[in-house]
Amino acid sequence: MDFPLLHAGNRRVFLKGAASFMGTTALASLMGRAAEAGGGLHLPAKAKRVIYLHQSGAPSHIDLFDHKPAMAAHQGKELPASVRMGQRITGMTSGQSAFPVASAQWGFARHGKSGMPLSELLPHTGKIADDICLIKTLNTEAINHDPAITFIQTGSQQPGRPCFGSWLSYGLGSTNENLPSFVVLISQGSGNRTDQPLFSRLWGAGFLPGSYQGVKFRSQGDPVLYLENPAGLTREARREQLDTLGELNQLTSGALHDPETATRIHQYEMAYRMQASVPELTDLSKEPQHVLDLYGPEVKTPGSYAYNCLLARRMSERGVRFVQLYHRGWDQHGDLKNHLPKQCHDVDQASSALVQDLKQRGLLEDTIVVFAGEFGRTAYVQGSISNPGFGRDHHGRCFSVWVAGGGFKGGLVHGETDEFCYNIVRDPVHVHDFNATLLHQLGIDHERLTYRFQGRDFRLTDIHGKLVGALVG
Amino acid sequence: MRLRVLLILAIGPAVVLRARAAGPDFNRDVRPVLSDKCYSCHGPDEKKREAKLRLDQPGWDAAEVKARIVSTDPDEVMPPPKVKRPLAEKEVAVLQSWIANGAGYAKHWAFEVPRRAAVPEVAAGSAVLGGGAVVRNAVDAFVLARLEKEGWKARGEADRERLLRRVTLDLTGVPPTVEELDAFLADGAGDAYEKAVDRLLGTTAYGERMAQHWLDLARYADTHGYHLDSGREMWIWRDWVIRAFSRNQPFDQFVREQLSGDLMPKAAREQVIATGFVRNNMINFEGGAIAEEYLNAYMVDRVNTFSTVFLGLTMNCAQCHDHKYDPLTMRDFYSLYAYFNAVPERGLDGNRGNAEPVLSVPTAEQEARIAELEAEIKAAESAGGADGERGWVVAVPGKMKSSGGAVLERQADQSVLAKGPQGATDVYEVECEVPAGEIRGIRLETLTDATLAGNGPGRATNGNFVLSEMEVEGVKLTRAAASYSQKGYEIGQAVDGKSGTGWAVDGNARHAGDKAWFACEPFRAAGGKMVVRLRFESPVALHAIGRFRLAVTMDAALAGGQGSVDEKRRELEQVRRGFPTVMVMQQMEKPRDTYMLERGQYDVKGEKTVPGVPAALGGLPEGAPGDRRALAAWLTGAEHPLLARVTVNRMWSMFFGRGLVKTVNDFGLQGEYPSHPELLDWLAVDFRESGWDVKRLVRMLVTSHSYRQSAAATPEALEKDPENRLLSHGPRHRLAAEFVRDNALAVSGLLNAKVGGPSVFPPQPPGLWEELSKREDSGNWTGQVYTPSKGADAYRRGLYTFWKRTCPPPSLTTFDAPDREICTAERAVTSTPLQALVLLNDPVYLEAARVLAERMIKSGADDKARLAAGFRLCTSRRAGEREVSALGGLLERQVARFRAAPGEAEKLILVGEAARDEKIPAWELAAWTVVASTLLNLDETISN
Repeated sequence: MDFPLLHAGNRRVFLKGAASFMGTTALASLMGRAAEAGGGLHLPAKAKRVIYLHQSGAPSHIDLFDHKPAMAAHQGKELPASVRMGQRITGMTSGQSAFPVASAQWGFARHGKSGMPLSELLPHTGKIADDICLIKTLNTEAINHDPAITFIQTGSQQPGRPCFGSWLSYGLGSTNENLPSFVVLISQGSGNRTDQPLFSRLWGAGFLPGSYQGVKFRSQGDPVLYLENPAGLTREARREQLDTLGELNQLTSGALHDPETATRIHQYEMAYRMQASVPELTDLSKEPQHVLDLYGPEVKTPGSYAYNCLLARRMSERGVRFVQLYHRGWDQHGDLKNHLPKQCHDVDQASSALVQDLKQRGLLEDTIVVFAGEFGRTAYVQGSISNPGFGRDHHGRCFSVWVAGGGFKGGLVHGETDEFCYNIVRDPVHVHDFNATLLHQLGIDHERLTYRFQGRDFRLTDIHGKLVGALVG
Repeated sequence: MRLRVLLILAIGPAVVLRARAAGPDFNRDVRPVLSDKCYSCHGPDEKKREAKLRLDQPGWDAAEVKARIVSTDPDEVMPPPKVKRPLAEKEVAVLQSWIANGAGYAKHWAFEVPRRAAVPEVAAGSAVLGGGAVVRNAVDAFVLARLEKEGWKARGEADRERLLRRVTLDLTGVPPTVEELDAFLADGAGDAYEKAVDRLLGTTAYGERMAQHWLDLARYADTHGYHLDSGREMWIWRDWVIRAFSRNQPFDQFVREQLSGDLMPKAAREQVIATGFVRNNMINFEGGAIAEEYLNAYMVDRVNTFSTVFLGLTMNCAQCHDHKYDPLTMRDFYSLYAYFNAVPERGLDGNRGNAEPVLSVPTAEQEARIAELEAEIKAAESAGGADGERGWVVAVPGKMKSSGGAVLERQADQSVLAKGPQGATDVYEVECEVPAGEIRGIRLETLTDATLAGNGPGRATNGNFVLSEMEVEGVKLTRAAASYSQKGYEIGQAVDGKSGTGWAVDGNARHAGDKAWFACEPFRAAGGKMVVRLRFESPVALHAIGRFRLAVTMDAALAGGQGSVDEKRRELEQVRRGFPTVMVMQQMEKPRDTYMLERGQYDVKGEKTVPGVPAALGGLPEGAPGDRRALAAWLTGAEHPLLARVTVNRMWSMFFGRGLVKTVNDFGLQGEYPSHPELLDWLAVDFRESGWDVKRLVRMLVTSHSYRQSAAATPEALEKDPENRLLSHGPRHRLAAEFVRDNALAVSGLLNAKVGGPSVFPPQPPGLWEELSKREDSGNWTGQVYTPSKGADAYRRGLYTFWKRTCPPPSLTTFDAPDREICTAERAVTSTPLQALVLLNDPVYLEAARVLAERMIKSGADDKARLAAGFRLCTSRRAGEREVSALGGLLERQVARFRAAPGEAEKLILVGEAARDEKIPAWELAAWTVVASTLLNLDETISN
């Protein structure tokens, strides 16, 4: 349900292409800038869609992905000043008198042909080691949740910019006009129960027209707000109502010739079709048992991470461009040892299942799956190392994410951090670089997907970002 | 000729506007190309300038430039391929022609002071389809002259019903009532329409409608926005905006008060409230965040908002470097920044609602109660009492000392005045003479004094103090009462034995001294001497009392301030404590230093700056004060090139759907050239010269023929001018989000027209807030739980809906309402299936349909009359034959359905809390509800 050309500014185009606009808008819109250069997508596209598994609160890269066996020797010792280099840290630990190192609290094992080391808390992720590209050197300037999560989603720490999914809707539109092109799914983690809130700006369209914002699919009430007909009103009655509405609106259209009226008639028909296509989408009854088993026992609980992962696959199959999952609960300032296993248990099996499931269906080739938080966590403890309830503070100088499908190299471990998982030693990937690379795989030159607002051509990567060629085939 | 027109249209309608022989017009044709394609490397930003070449001013090699822009050599061609901004063929042609004609420059049009152009003559009999020219005012002369040039004609006047609907919705956000329609149709006077406009301009609904737009610009919301997004109270400011528009406050005054009302001489409460505009920015208190970083974010937001709202310019580029297109420097940005960087606010704040500085504003009820109580207390006092002189003996101060080094001076009235140095903490020790006899209580009066900051009574810069402990040597104080205590600093804390807490009184905001009474165990002063210690040892440093007087009483009844007077006092304090507050501006005595921040980073400080305005827009007069007063005066001065233009353009856009300058938020070099430049300037000058009379401007716009035309477009107009920039037909648009709601509530009769007050919580699907932010500790914060309003508050106008920034009201945002995190100058107008779902299925609209159904049923004896009545309520016009028959068919089918399924009918009409007339059978009401819902969904119902 993406209508790049339906906002008032593009009325003219709609007039010309009313009959076929859903098929052509996407490209035409992108070509707003690209047309002069020859038309079509900027680049050959490796991927058509994205499933973004955002781990809100920021998982510990030290305990899960960035294996540093030598760090154990520093357990409990002060983090050397030469490592910290006086960099700014959050107000939650800046007053601490000591910064003792805590090495990974769980063991690591190697997986797949690539021998990718992963935490013992992620056994299922191990099964897809050869499908995922593990980046250990993502980095961000932000040190707090609000700015950091806003940054990774919109390319700016401050509010006001469109998010990744909105840019994609604007650029590429939808391939299924009976579903939104950009969907958001939210689940609550079982770890930190005083975890970070989410904000609608994270799936907001910023200065782009509101039709590009993400549509939240909910586990409570209607999956899409106001989707279902009211109690007492059958689909047949609704059809009759819409027929009359259409007839009356046609009369208005004939009298005033306002193209908006014709558009509105079309939108009501799409709404009616959505009322059928969404329930079909969320109906898991025809999923075979072995697929349900793959995702784990939680898959049948609406609103769980596993349920959302399965929905994400079904959405991708049906042409939804961008599926954004948020899983909360990763903010382990305290009680790391208790919370982290719970969070991993929430997401490990289903994330792995999603990749396997997409692969079995031949969808992984042109679907990008991203698993990322907004930053990482510190090598030093928050609290006292002698207190078993210690945690880790925020750390943006390096963190680990993985990407599968869409031409990203499976089995690759990219970049290297120092022995404390604190600073980057080799091959940094800034958030802007990461987003530029994701767009590249979708056939988009990040410098040319622009929108003119207040006299300036804005883009997701601001004035930064470069393709990280090593990540992709 | 035809070919030429089409070619030019490809660039955009603005270019069609005039054709001249002597090469392209620099402002209109050339600068946009240079700005868009060349200035980022060859423009005003010195740091990014390539090859030392500036194309934003003369002095370059024409032959070279001419050759480079057409070169086919990728190493030669300009702009270079790597910047990915190639010149289009037509742009090359424009530049070539410009260079061939001498490459002349002109100052950017929007930076020139507007001058009133001559109103053009329009040839009679040619301008309107099927009729003579209708030039009702200057607006039409400009619009018709422009159409005439194109060889086009305007339309005749819209039919009267559609016209009254259009102007009523545009001016008030609610539709005309049937009575208003009938009265208008019956009024045969030549000025019937003008009278209707005047009536509408006199309604409060007009003020609400105008406020709705201003709230977007001012980023008004009911929560702080960042992180936990807890609640705030800014509705007092919102109501001020409604009042300002309703009473037609001159716009320049409206602007000055919002920017600097607190600094005006003898600032009235209303003027201080106005400054809430500046404080509407988002606020953060995320644990671990760095205060300085967020203070910077607030100032940046204020500069950006200021620039967009008042200058129609985008300053945000200049946060990190000189502007690439406009003559705005990084220094300009931080000079504006410095004006705002002088509020005594904390970088991290807002966890308990409003963040300092705030103003307490009593409601009308509270004010009435206070007047009552004060009168009663006064009456009681004159009869003697705790506060009167009878029964109290002033303690005469003798030896005094101050641990903080203050000089304590006895005054003629036996009060003590503190002067000289002030320690971070202080303890005053006063030995005073008291009469013999058994003392039962001590009274402490705090007094104002001209030598104290803001007259005191405290020595803090805001006139406040914190008395951490009150002690009388050798005497136990048993109870304490005060005429007033600041929230969180109650009088009891001055006798709790804890130095960390204390009594405070909101400083000079109260413009008076306050008193405290301490009852004690009876004692006799040895040798007639009593030693009192006033301790100021709380963590709030530099907060000693500036002037005070002590007294004692032997009368137990007076001692603790007991008695009926005291009770009244307590209630008075209670009422005062319950005052709602609003965040406002305040000037620090010593503003923070402002630095240019490299790359905009808060912690990378460059050169220091002082408050100032962008040089390219005219400087400040000699001797202008270094605070916001100067900024406001400069902005509203007669020579300012932008404020009037930007404002009239925005008003134009409100009523005509698009600005004369389409980029309403960008009047800079990258902005679009006006469709009617002379008209824009004429309106700007006229607006300013009229004394910035907003209603007069609005009246001129909506009484013009250009506005009153029929909205029916010709195929030619749709093809060549799809945005109707030239106004060959009247304006038509979907209603703004809030008015979509108001309209449905109004036609059903559910609308509660109450004006102002705290924001309300109309029904919305449960769990929307919680799914984003639920935490175990949510109860600690405001604005975390959505509790739907009951009764009449559920039917208030959309602009009173509680606006949570991280989860704004979904039925409004679906219709393009912004989240209000930052300033929004223009809402997109989209059309989506989600909008259809809201209007069809949101219980708010279903309830409106059910109530409208009942209204229809009761409106006439037969179905046809009822259907016609409903149609007219919703569209303001009489239904045609085909319309009635289509609705009749629907009704018939629904009656059949619900008669056959009465249980379903019962379910459908259960929606909403509004009472229903049980005499109407369920099947009938349900069938009519479906019909009413159809009417509420009509394109015409949600359009003006």
